[in-house]
Amino acid sequence: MSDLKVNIGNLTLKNPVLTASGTFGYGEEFSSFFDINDLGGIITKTITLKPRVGNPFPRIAETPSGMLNSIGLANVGVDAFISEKMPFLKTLNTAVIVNVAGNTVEEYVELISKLEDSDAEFDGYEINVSCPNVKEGGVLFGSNYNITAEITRKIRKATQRCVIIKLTPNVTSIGDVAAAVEQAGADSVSLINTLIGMAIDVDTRRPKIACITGGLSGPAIKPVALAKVFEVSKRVNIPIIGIGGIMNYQDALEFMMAGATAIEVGTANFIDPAISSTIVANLHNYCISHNIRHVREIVSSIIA
Amino acid sequence: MSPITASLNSELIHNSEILEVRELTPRIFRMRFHNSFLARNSLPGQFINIKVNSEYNPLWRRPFSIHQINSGENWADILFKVIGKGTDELSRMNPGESLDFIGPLGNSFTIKPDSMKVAYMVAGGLGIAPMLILGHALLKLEIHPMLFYGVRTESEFCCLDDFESAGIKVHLATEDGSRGYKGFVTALIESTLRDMPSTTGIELFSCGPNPMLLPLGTIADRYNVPCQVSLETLMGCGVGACLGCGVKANQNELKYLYVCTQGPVFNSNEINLSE
Ligand SMILES: Cc1cc2nc3c(=O)[nH]c(=O)nc-3n(C[C@H](O)[C@H](O)[C@H](O)COP(=O)(O)OP(=O)(O)OC[C@H]3O[C@@H](n4cnc5c(N)ncnc54)[C@H](O)[C@@H]3O)c2cc1C
Ligand SMILES: Cc1cc2nc3c(=O)[nH]c(=O)nc-3n(C[C@H](O)[C@H](O)[C@H](O)COP(=O)(O)O)c2cc1C
Ligand code: FES
Repeated sequence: MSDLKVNIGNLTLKNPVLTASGTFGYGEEFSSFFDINDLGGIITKTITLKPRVGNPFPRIAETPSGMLNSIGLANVGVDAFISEKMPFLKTLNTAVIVNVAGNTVEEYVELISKLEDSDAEFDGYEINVSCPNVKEGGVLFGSNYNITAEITRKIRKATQRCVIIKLTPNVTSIGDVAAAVEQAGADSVSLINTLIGMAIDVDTRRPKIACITGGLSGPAIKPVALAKVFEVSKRVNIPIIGIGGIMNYQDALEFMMAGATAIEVGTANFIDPAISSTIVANLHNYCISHNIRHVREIVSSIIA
Repeated sequence: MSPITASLNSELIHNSEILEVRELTPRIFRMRFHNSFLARNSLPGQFINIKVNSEYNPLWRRPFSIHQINSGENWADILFKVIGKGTDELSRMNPGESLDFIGPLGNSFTIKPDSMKVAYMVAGGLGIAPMLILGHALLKLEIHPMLFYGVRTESEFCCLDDFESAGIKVHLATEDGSRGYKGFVTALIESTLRDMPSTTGIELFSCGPNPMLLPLGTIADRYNVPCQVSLETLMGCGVGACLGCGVKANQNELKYLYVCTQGPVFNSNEINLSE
């Protein structure tokens, strides 16, 4: 046996494989495909204070080795999340991380207080300061590191739970933002959220998604994401969670070697709903065949 | 130490042997594959989501209605038209190769044998695909369906023999008048309903492009007949995760319904297809 456990803040994950926000619903959608308890943890769709119907359609477009989305944080809202989605999440024997977003600093704090005051059982927060698909807040927050740091400080005060700040790549220096967030008390940073992108149908001259621009994800963004993880690993000491185009265990290993302690599987869930569980199994096999006793030995093991 | 394997507990993930790929009419193919689970458990209107190759081009799976099943011989069919990269790859697959798909997915047409006397199946173009499995299911419940089937021009008709040999009466429409009624299939259905002394006990089951389903819903309302429609949208995942497959719900407050999990079959007055 190899030890797959990794630590993120006060959380011990049974393995480094998580599912990325917005690509795994509220967990239940995937329970008919595999045993979710195989995973290190799941990250919920972004929750907001009020329910959101999301952006107009078309919201998604296929691009070479990737996809664009402008879902616009469609979600049930925090109240329905607690009453309707939590009962299933409570039954899980894996880490549950709630991804949250707000339009203002105050909204983040109010949202966290609501969750803290509820009897919801979960293990941590991933703070979405980086969604490219909402008009207010969103990328704007994520690209202003003073505000991102302020949000982090306020949330840090409001909870004992693990706080992960999810970073956008759509900034001049992701390393600066990561460093500011670490200073402000974050337990971890996860990266990357989607890259802003666009596609046009040349027959109709219309953009392929109604919001014109959207977030690019999938294998197309992996090299960019990997470079960002490597860059951030030079700037912070808190654990990094790597995201971006991870389709198989080799991709997951690349992120870990570049500096990630754990990884999130996103778009790949759409193509193979059981892939995250397959990645766990294959990571384990890799460790065994390479005589790796603890998976954390792989972190930052790049020879460069 | 034995390597651990992922604990897949799904009856929905399949790799099935392809038995036949046949071009029925130009660019329209029928693919038959071995799968006893699908052959026994598929409901009319459900679909499967196929990965046409193991590469990232195309990235997404491609959804196709289940066209026909045979639980005695353990196979299922899809019927598809080549319109792009994914369907082109699919058409080039060969018997003996393996088909990677997820399914059956989605809801199904609702058949109420008690209140329903006559089923009119209305298909436009490739909307014919789910009508054969539906027709067979209706016949099993001793409801005699009739098929109204419209295409642009005669050469686009396919599977007519399959319906006729099952004893299903077929009414054809072509936009150019090359065969059957000249005009849209919706006009054909309307004139049929208009001529009926009473429409009680009639139900419409439909699949086709939105520009056909929209007027069909209006006609169904006018003649006071229930109408179920099977919709097509882009699908990023097929399992309710990407939220990319919405249609507007027919209500004042803005709300979307998701075709892959809440559909693909809806009552025509549940949804708003205008615009
Ligand atoms: C529930 C469901 C059931 C379906 N059943 C069948 C079936 O039984 N037989 C069949 O032939 N097809 C069916 N389709 C449509 C089929 O999935 C598409 O034709 C296929 O995905 C096209 O893939 P492609 O790579 O060949 O084309 P692409 O290269 O992806 O697309 C070619 C062009 O067609 C457009 N397009 C692609 N898919 C759709 C769509 N769903 N709606 C509108 N425009 C689209 C694209 O925007 C593009 O312009 C179904 C779709 C759904 C959602
Ligand atoms: C359809 C879709 C919806 C997403 N929704 C969210 C979201 O609600 N919150 C969030 O933080 N990230 C969201 N993301 C971003 C992913 O969590 C992830 O950061 C990104 O897709 C890159 O990873 P990938 O290439 O593995 O998909 C979404 C991505 C996609 C494709
Ligand atoms: S196709 Fe992804 S939610 Fe329906």
